[in-house]
Parts: sequence; C-alpha cells; structure tokens
Amino acid sequence: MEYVELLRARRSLSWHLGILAILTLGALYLAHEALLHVHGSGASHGPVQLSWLTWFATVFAAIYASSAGTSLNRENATRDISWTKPAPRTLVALRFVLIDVAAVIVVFAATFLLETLVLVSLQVTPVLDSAFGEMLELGLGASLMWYALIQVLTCRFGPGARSIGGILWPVALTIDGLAQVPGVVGSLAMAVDVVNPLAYVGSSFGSSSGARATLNFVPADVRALAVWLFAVLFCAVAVTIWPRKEA
Amino acid sequence: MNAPLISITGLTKRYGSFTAVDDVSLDVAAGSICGLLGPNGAGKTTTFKCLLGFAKTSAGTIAIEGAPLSPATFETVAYVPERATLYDNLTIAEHLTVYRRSYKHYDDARARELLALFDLDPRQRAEKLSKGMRTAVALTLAFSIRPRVLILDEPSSGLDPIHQRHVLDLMIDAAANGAAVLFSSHQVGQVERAADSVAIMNKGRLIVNSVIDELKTGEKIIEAVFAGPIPNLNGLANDPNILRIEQVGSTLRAVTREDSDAIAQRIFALHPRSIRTIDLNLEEIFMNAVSRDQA
Repeated sequence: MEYVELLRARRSLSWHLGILAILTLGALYLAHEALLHVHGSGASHGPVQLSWLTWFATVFAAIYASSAGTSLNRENATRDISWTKPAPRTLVALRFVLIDVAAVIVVFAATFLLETLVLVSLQVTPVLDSAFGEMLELGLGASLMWYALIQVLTCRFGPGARSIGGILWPVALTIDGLAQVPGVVGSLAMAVDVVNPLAYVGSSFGSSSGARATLNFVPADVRALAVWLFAVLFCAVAVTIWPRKEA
Repeated sequence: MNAPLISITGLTKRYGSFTAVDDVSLDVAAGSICGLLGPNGAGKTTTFKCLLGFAKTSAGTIAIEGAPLSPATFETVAYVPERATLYDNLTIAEHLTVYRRSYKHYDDARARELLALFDLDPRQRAEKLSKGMRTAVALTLAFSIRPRVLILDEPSSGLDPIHQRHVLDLMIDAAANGAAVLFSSHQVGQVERAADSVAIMNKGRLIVNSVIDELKTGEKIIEAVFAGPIPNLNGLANDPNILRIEQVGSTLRAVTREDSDAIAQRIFALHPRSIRTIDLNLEEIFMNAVSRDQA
C-alpha cells in the first residue's frame, strides 16, 4: 500500500527539486554575472552563518509539507481500494507518514545544500556558528510540525479539505500577527500560536530578519524540542483518527 | 452444500430513522455464485459496504470464511465497486505493482492474461481511462489475486457486450475453482446466466433468496386463450396458489406458486381455445417478487 505514497512522493519530489534546481541555476547565473561585472573575477565576500541557511530550507520544506500533509486525505478518495487491503489501517497510515517525513527531510537537506552551493559560487564563506545545531533542529522540526498539523486537519475529511494546505499559510501568519496585539485578542492568538509552527520559526530569526518574535521569550532549545514533540504528537493523532469506517 | 464463505446474518443498517438494510441474512457457499438483484435504492450497495466493513452495521453479524472481518481477511477477498476506484495518477502497470506488493497470492501471469482479455495497455494512466476501461482494470486487479471471495457491485458497468461476457466467464471460472461470488446487477439476464442462486432485495429487505432452478420450478404461468370474452372465473383469483391473474382481451394469464397442474385443470374447465404452461424466467420472477412486495 505504501508503494502508492512512495510513487506520489517521488513524483512530488521530482517537481519540487526541479523547481529548486531551476532557482539554484538562476541564482548561480546571477551570482556569476555579479562577480564578473561588479567586483571582477576573484572578488570575495564576507562569511555567512550556516544557521541562516536553515531558514530557507525550513520554508521550502514547509511548502513541500503543505502538499505531502494531505496524503492520508487523498487516500480517503480511494477507500474502495485502500480499505480492502490485507494490512491494518494504522500500519498503512504509519508507513505513509514515514515516507512523507523522509521526503520532507530530503527537501530540507536539498535546499540547504543548494543554498550552500550558491553561496560558495558567490565566493561567500559559510561559517559553522554556535546556533547552527539549534536552528537546524528547530527548522526541520517546524517543517515536520507543519506537515503533521496539516495531516491532523485534513485526514478525516473529503477532497475539499486539501485546500487547508494552502489556506493554513495566511491563517498561521495572521494568528502570529494577532499575537503581537495587546489585550484579549492577542492573548487568544498567543494561545493558538502554541500549535503554530511559524511562530516558533519566526521567533528564531526575529531579531535580525525582522520576522515576528511571538515565542521569543521561550529559550530556543525548548522551542526546538516543542516543535519535534508537536510533530510526533500530531502524526500520532492523524494516524489514530484516520477513518476506518463510514458512519 | 459447501460451507459458506460469505455469511451475513440479520444485517441491519440504519442511517438515522431510515433503514437502508433490514434484517438481511444471506450465505454464499464455496463454488457458488449468488446474484443480488433489486431496484435502485434497494440496499444492495449498502449491504456490500457493511459486508466489507466500510460501514458500521446497526445490527447483525458478518463472517468471511467463517471469521469476522480483519485485515487478514482481505488477503483472499476481491471487491469491485460500482464505480471503479483507481489511483488516477498511477498507470495500470503501477496499479498491478501495488497489488503485487499488497497480496501474497497475486498472480502476475494471470494479471497479464486479463489485461490482454480486456484490451488494456498497462502504460495508460488511470485518469485517461473511460468508465468501461476503469471497470476492466478493477476487474483485472480483483481476479489477479486469485480470490476465494469475490464481491462485485455491478461488475459489467460500462463494459461492451463482449467484455460483459468475459466478466461472466471469469465469475463462473472462479466459482468452478472454489470461490464464492456475490455480485449485484441490474441485468437480470446476466444473473440468470452466471448465478446458481439469486437474492432479491427491495426497500432494504431480502424478499427472495433461493436457488434459481427452484424458483423456476416453483412459479409458472398458465396462459389460456378463449374464443370470446373470458368467462366468469368462479373464484379462481382467490386460489391461494395463484399469485396474480392478468386478463387482456381474450387472454388469461395466471401466475401460480405451486400445483400448477390443478390450476391448469380449473382453467381448462372454462373451455379455452388453447392453454399452455410456461416456465417463468428470472426477469418475470424478479418483477413478480418486487411488485408483490410493493403491494
């Protein structure tokens, strides 16, 4: 059964990595032009901390997760096939989730590597900074939490629920924005922000990137742990609540 | 009779106050084919859904090969739904791979045979297939796992007459090899040709459940043609063995339940110009059963 998801993930990864490759080639071309015409060949730039690269990797992995997170929902449309296979539903769901998680990690890693490639071609030296490990953990964890959150929100419903993968982006950003507002609305939004992966990531890059710092008061290592725990919890909930029967 | 591979006992399914299936009991033995007939909304598909564990039953029990449904049950159960469900983004060959990886008894040679039988190209993507071709793919997948239990909901839906014939042959072949086949159809002729027993549902209830040959010998039509107007029937219509009497012009048709000879003698006593006894075909049996139930 998981072969279906394997094929789907392969196809989806091909598209996603293809777009990344095109973006990388574009960036490499622009970098080449900039080096030749502005600084001349052999010019060098200052170092960039590797922890910064995790931000883009997180965003790209979360974009992929928005689609991958609807995999259980997609299976609901083919229940005549998927509900009559000689395998326990929980096991099927678990295998689907494992394939998706692996694919999200591949996108995260590929984005990170391609970013590094672009920087190196720009003759920018990536520097391993002390926050890198924490940011890597937080960024990847947030992408997986995003994936798991979409699974929970969509796995019990029909095809229409797949739009949640797209709608969740502005909703999450709005909630994160409202959390900055003082008063009851802000407090409520702050409470909801606890399950908003973007709130965790925004706060990590907030001080320098201008992103919001909703959960900045929470130490980074705690936030990193939280996103992983939420990712595991949401995946477990999705696997459990995935329908086994009609009413 | 062989042990039933499909056993439904007292199955009831309610959606709120609406009873879709009402106390249905039905067994299908190994090596036999049961055709399930019924008007639209009779509860055939709901029965299948409950049988396969898609829908929660309100009451009753279901057993496949003598055991309640479990994931392992599906190793030997093949199901073809009314609207063939396929993974639209997968090719036919990829569907076969899914089945090869899912079922222990998947038979690739058999699958290739069936693809040829239904004129299917394994490179075709499911989303590009016509309704009939989707049904053909679903049937190919179903028969490729060498099932012991086949549950087919309108299995020839959208197929051309040649492929419809193939489906009946496949069912007969499966039953000959010991499988139990339960299939629904709106084409009574298909049931008559392939099935050895028939179950007729109406308004959620099972109104007929019998071996077809017994049904045919049980009910007959006595048709008498009179030279003039049909004479007084002398209370013939009240005979408990007469199910229905039709009078059209000078022709009298009496549908009898049993003891048709005695009825024929009573009609013969009315001096018709000609009289004959006709065996009912399944379509007439179906129509009689449903119209009796409606009444």
